[in-house]
Amino acid sequence: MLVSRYSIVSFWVQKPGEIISFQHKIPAYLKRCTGFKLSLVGSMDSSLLNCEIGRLSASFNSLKEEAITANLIHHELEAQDFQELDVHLHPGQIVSGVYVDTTLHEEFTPYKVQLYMRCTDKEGKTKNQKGSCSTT
Amino acid sequence: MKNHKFQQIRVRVTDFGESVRINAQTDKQYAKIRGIFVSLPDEQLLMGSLLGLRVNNQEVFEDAHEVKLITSGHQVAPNKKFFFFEEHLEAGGSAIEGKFTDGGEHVFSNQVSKVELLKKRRTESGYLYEVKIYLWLTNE
Repeated sequence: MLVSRYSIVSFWVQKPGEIISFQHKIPAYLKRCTGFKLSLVGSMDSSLLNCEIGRLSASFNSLKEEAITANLIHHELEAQDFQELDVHLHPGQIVSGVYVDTTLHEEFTPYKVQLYMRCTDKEGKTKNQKGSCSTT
Repeated sequence: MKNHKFQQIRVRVTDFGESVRINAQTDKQYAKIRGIFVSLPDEQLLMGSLLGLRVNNQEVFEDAHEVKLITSGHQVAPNKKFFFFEEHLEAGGSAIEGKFTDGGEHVFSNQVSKVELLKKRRTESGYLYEVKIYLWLTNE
């Protein structure tokens, strides 16, 4: 039976233009990452609606695979879907990454960002497999 | 014998930013937890709210998991609202533990009247609002 777990990296951005690097260990029983989502926790000044507020990149498996690059945009109604990912995880591997704040706003308010990584304990593809078609 | 049940867990939040522990047990007559839906009295309260969930001491959601990622608003049809678990989560009297954390006062930073309304409500009834967590239990 497939087990899906969400591994979360959280950080607070305290000042404009701040660069935050992070390292996060994914539990060893999880074998594959199938999706990710970058999320702004809480609300933000309405003048920043639909504006980019930051960018993130993250690498798996000792910096060998830079699988995640995303920008964070402040939406009123944020989409809940995850972006697809297909990364095989080495046991107990560390995800390393950097977040850069890109807000160009005079009145900066600290905010919290979370990166969700959806991982499973199965090695092979289990979701969104493409159908095959053959002709004779 | 019914095959489906929507078991409700109620959580009373008494203060802004408060974390409330959840302890419950699933109905013994149902085998599996199929999905979850978290109902809040106002969609604004979703902002920054977190829910951790453990079933039989097995972590399903970390305490930092945002409620907005596992629930839906009024714009979603009633029979599409639940977040489905892909795995088999045992019901049948399983221990449900968790933690609900309110998003804090800052979620209403642009709406002073709403903060005042919630504060008034807390004074009158002793709590800000009630969260209803629905677990979809099934035998199928």
